[in-house]
This record gives sequence, C-alpha cells and structure tokens, in this order.
Amino acid sequence: MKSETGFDHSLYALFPTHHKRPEGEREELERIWCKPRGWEYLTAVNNNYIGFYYIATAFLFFLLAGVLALGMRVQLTAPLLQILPQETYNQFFTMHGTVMMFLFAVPMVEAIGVLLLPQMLAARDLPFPRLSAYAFWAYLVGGLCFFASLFVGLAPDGGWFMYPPLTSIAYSPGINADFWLLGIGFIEISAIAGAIEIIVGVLRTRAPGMTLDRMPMFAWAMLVFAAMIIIAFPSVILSTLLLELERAFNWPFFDPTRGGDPMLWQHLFWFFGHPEVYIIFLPAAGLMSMMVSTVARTPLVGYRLNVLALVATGFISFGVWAHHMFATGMPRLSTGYFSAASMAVSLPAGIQVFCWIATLASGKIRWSTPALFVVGSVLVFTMGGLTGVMVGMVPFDWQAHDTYFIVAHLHYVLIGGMVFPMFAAFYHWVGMTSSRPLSERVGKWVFWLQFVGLHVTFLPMHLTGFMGMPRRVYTYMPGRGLDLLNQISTVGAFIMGAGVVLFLIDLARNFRFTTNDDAGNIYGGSTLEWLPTGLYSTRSIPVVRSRDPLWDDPKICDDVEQGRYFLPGSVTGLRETIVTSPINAEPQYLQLMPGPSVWPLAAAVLTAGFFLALTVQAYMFSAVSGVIGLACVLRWLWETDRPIQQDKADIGAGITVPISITGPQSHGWWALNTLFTVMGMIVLMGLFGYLYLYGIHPEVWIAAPPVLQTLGISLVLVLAIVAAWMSRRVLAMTKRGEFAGQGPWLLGVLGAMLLGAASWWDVAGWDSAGLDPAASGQGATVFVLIAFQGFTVAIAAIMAVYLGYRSGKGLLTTPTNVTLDIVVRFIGYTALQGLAIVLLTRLYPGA
Amino acid sequence: MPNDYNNRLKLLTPILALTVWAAHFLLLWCASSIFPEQVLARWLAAAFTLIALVALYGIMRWQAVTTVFSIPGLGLALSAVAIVFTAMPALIG
Repeated sequence: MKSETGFDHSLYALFPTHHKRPEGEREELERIWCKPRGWEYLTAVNNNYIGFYYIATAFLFFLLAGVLALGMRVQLTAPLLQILPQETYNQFFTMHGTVMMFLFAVPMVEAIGVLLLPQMLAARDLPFPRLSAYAFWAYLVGGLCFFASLFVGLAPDGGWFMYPPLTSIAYSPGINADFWLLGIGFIEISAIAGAIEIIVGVLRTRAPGMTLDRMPMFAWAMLVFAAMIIIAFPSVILSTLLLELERAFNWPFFDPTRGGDPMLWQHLFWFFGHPEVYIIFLPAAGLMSMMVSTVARTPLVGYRLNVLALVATGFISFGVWAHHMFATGMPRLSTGYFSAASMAVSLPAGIQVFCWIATLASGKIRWSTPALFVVGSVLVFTMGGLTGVMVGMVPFDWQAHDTYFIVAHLHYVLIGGMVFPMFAAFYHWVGMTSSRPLSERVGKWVFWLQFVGLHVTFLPMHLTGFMGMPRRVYTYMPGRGLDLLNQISTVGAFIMGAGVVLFLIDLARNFRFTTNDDAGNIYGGSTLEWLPTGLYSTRSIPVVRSRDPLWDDPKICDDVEQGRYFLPGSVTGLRETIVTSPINAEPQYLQLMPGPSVWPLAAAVLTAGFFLALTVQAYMFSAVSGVIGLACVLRWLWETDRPIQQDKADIGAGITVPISITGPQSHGWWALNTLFTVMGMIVLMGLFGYLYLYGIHPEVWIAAPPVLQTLGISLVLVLAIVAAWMSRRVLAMTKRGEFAGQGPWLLGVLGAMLLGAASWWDVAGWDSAGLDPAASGQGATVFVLIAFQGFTVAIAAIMAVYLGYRSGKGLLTTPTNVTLDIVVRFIGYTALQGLAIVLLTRLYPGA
Repeated sequence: MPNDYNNRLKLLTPILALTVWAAHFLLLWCASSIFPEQVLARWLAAAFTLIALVALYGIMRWQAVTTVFSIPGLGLALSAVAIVFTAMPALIG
C-alpha cells in the first residue's frame, strides 16, 4: 500500500534521533506555553485548563441534579406527602432530567475528551483552542443561568422532552418553557462547537505513525461520538427553534387545527433523543475499553471488533428513535420496524461487552478502584440493556410505558453506561492532573456505596412500575402496595448520595491540580497520555509504532522527554502542532495555534446574554448583546491567519513541512465541512418537517409561486456561486507577495449580495402567493426555512465585509488565503442550501 | 504491526454496508408511514429488502470481500442481519 500523502515512511527510522538538543529549547517551550496567573486563568485556552474547568463544571451540575433527585425521593417516601408542592415537583423532575442529560452527561464526556485527547494523540493541543474556550464559557454561563431559573420558580416543568401541546402557549403560558427552549438550544450550540473540535482533532492532529488502526479506543469513541452529535443535535436545535417560534409568533408547527402536528415534535426530538443515549454511552465505552486493558494488564481483546461495534452502534442508534413513541398510535408496521432496530442495536453493544469480558478473563485483574467500577459498570449496563430489549418489544412497552419500570431501565443504562465509567476514569486518570492520587481505600467505599445504593434505589422501581405507578406524578395513593418499595428506593438514593459525598471528601483531601508535577501513571496505562507532559503536552511528538506504545517501547518516555522525536522545540517561536493525514497520520504541515485570549470568554457571555434576554423578551438588550458578541468573535478571529515570513519548518531529523496551508489538506477545511454538515442537517430536518406536515394535513396546502420565478431565484443563487469561485480565481492568479487588488473581496461581497437578493425574492414570491406563516403548517415550515436561509445569508454578508476589511489592512495573503477560502466556500454552501430550499418547497408536487 | 505505517483497519466496507442499512430502514419507514396499514407497504418493504441485499452483494464484490471472518466481512454480515431483521415485521408481522 502506498503512502497517503507521498511522505516517505522510511524517514520514521530516523527517530529517536541521537543528536544533543540545543540548550534552552525546553525553556522556550515552557515560555511559549506559559502558565496563566491571576485573571489570566479566565483567558486560558490550553486544553489542560479548559478540560479541567469543563469537568469541574459538569460535575457541579451532576451534584445539583443529584440533589434534585434526592428531593424527589424524599417527596415519594410516603403516599400523599406535601414536602414538594406539585408545581415544584414538576420543575424538579424536569430540571433533573434536563440537567443530567444536557448539562452533565454530554458536557462531561466532551470535557474528558478535551482534557485527555491531545495528550493521548500527542498533539500540543486541540486544533481550535479558542473554540474550546468559547464552548466551555458558553456552557458555564448558559448552564448556570438556566439552573438559576429554579430559584425564582421559573424553571421549566414540562418534562425533559417538553412535548407540545403541554408546552404550547395555551397550556404553558409562563416563560418556564422558554427558558428550556432557548437555554437548551444555546447549550447545544456549545456541544456542536466541541464536536467539531474533536472530529478535526482526532483526524488531523494524531502523532505521526498513529494510523487509524493504532488509535486509542477512547479516540475512536470520541470520533464516533462527535460525528453522532453533528448528525443528531441539529434536530433538537431545530425543534427548540420551531416550538419557540410557535410560542412567540403563533406559527403553528405543532397545532393540528392549522395544519401542524404535535407528533412532528416527537419525531424531531427523539431523532436526537435516542442517539443521545449512545452519544453518552460510546465515549464511556471508549474509556472502559482502555481501562479494561490496563486493569487486566493485557491488550484489549478484539480491538478491531470494538471499533466495528462503535461504528455500527453509531449507525443503528439512528434507527430507534420512534421506540419512544410506540404508545402514540403510529402505523403498526412502523412500530415493528423500530422494534426490530431496537433489538438489532443490542448486537454491537453486545460485541463490546463480550470484548471487555474476554479481556478481563484473559488477563490478570488488579482489583483497584477503577477495576471495581469497570466490572460494576459491565454488570449494571448489561442489566439495563436487557430491560431495554424488553421495552423494545411493542406489547411490553405498551404495558410499561410511562411507569417506574422505564425509570429503572434508563437509570441502569445511564449509570452503568456512563456514571460508573466516569468514576472509574476519575480514579484512573487523576494522576494526569493531580500531584496526589485519590485514596484507593476510600475509592472502594465510594464504589460499594454507589453500587449497593443503585440497586436498592432502582431494583424496586421495576416492581412499582409493574404495579402501575406512573412516572412524573408527585405522589401516590396509600394502600396500593407501593409504600414499602418507595421507602426502600428513597433509602437507596441516600446510600448512593453518601457514595458521592465520600468521593467529594476524597477529592478535598487528595486532589491537588497541577500541570507539571502530576502523580503520573498510577495504574500502568499503555498509551501516550502517560508520557511526561507539561502545558505543551509532550516535549517531543513520538512516532507511534503500536497500539500500546508504552508497553512495547520502554524507552519511549525518556526519548520523548529528551526531545528525540518530532517538534522538540518551537520552530516559529509561536504555539504550534503537527497536522497529520487522516488515515495514516503522516506529517503534512505545521499549524500555528492561537494563544490565550479574553475574546472567547466575552463572546460566550454576550451570546448567553443574547439568548437569555430573548427568554425574558428584552429584545433590545438581546440585539445589543448579539451585535457586541459578534464583534468579539470577529476580534478573536482577527489575530488568526496572519502572514508570517517563514513558509517551511524543520520538524525534526531534517524533515521539512509547510506552515499553515489552505485547501482540502488543511484542518480548517475539515472543520468548515463539518459545520456545513450541521447546517445541512438543520435544513434536512426542516424539509422533513415540511414533507411530514404535508403528509398529515395536505388540505391546508396552497399552490406555489410561478415556476418561472423559481427558475429566476435559482439563477441568482448560481450566480452567487460563480462570484465566489471568481473571487478565489482572482486571488490565485496573483503572484506570491503581491497585492491582489480589490477584486477578491468585492466579488465575495457581490456573492453575498446575490444571496440576499435571492432570499428577498423568495419571501416576496411566497408572500404574493398568499402564504402566511401564522395561518398554516405549510406557511410556518416554508418561512422558517427561508428565515434560516436568511440567517445564513446574513453571516455570509458579515464574512464578506470582514474579508474586505482584512484586505484593506493588507492581511489578504496571495496566492492563497485561509480567510478568503473560508468566506467563498461559505457563500457557495449558502447558495446550494438556498437552492435545496427553493426547489423543494416550490417544486414539490404537493405545493 | 511493528514498523508498518499503513493503516490496516478496513472500515470503508462496513460504513458502506451500514449506509445501505440506514437507507433501507428509512425507506421502509417512509413506505409504512405513507401507506399506513396497507399491503402495498409490505410489498415495498420486500422490494427494498431485495434491493438492499443486492447492494450489499455488490459492495462485497467491489471490495473483494472473501470471508466473513474479517472486519469488512463482519460489517457486511452485521448489516445483512440488521436489514433482514428490520424487514421481518413486514413479512411475518
């Protein structure tokens, strides 16, 4: 097989090098990747800090949601108790589910990824450190404001899935539901930002030689996880947008009296909601695979099978969303398909479990705290999986639906599949970030309290569910045999809580955050995160020759630390990392990385202000926050893509690579494509909504505007693509270092103006055809698609003007420029998106 | 694996096969939603299943998969099982 990029693999034999490294090289690295002081902690973008902040915040939300759970259990200790009034109880269960799913589970696994991945891949940092910082601050500020709604009695109370019509303005007239819709929509944007970072990081910043076949299982899991986020989360962003528009402007997406349908919400929500379970589980499974191998002190059995299982789970999990809707009266055949898929998804999950069991069986287990959590996790997750297969059967689901049986099932799955692996990971990887390990003795108590507490809490719930006790009801009647079982569950919840409190005590006693004096490889892990590291990650970036490099090459730690591999110092005097090819991880170019900045923090705070002000209908404040927030984003981007004198760099052993390239080989190109996938999914789900509502209520559909007009709009959009393409051509025809003139950016602006003209024509056409967004489901869906297109066009216009400003400041490098490349591709994508919307909504035979 | 710097993990075949599964699943669901409780939906399911299995066979030939005891072979097998299993309700339900 040939090299992927033309890189000569025999050059890897030059490493480890044997020359003495120059004096002061390490000190320069330390200076460039220096530690923040005082207020600088707020401007840090390095993954060691952002990852730690992220994990601490996610754990805080875990504690807060846990306190809510204890409150609910106290209320349910005996029948007809009045400790929590009904309204408060509704807010508690809604916030418990929402916080656990949106503010704890997904951010926690993303956070662990941010902290571990760069070191695991031996990259200096993730490829967009400021994006990571923005994602974190947006999540922190948005999450805290969202949670604070509980203290003023304005917390959402419609369940974590917020089904309309219960959450429509008629039945939920307060702003409680708006907090959920805008808050969650905003926080999901942060999750998507993190996912883009992870996809590009895993595919493009791996250490040389780390082929896909040698990637740590956690990196594989995070790659599948991030890809699933990119596909699934746009659906929940769209659905929250639709419901908010219905509540704010009376656009009837979910109102069946005007051609909407509440089932549309359920499809959109669960298309996200069920994959979400696997989005949470897969990274934890990746952690499990790595810990199982370390615990058993043997390589993972069935590495490739495990990868196949991860990928297959990612796919099949998108075919199970409607198993949450078996009781809604779907066609019988449809329920059969979803039932079959629900059982099929257990196949790849089963493969993983058997790989873990085989690894444990083939090795020699050291019964440490992580080992206990790992084995406990396999047991608990399997129990939850088995009841999952039960509720995957339609007749059984009809009986158990909305009872405590489901509560028991989902807690077994989520605690076994995510919470136990998380605690195992805390104990396992604490040596990377703390100067002292956590206590093994206390850790075992933490495990047993949680393990016993889990069963005492949730095992009885299977029975209360069978006995007909419904979920989400604040009390129950006496004399139905439910009292004792509920009392047992409450005791169990407090036993679990005691386990968590003990963990906090252990943290307080032993955890001491550090970036350079860590406790190290306590359990003997085999992968690169256990190399000696500083804020710059590893001193030099090793050549990876196996899946377990630390076990297979005992000298690697010393060689890396002595700078005998790639990039032992800084070539440009700036923060930098090596970008490698996606499959074979061959060195391609040197990426310059941005340093600390206050702008991601400012942008995040103002974005949160924008959404929160919308919630309380302070539109002027919201608009001002939005504009200043946008300015902050542009300011942070301003410092990137600067012209530099040097165009090639020696990255070690005389191997030279280019610095910061454009085009399909660049990491920015991959990130932009990922963003296009997100935007495309939003449009795709919107078009699905359009077709779905037509299928349900064709009687309210009106005829589309004339075909000639549609062709005219399409032509304008094609012209926008031509203008964008011309812009790049003009720049490419200019010689290196010469000024390209005003042509490139003016053509970009022309492209954006054509996009705007097409959108205006589209709106005017529908308006003159008599389509009213508040009158019918057709009007609502058509206008929301046009509104999304308008939003995209506005961004394209801002980007084009920004390009012009950079050109005026002499920052438009020739013959290629990253900023111009991004702007023209964005304009081209927006035109294609507009074409899809215009053609489908106007030419679809139903119109 | 030592000193081999070419990727040996062949995931293209499983990804293509699972994409066929995804398309098959969505088509079956669309047919059952557009023609609820009608026999036509069942016939369409049978037709889509046949097409999907032929597509898997095509992928197998194109990627020269000769054994099920490999990641490409297992990916194809897993997808084939999932496709047939998903279609079962249309045939016997």
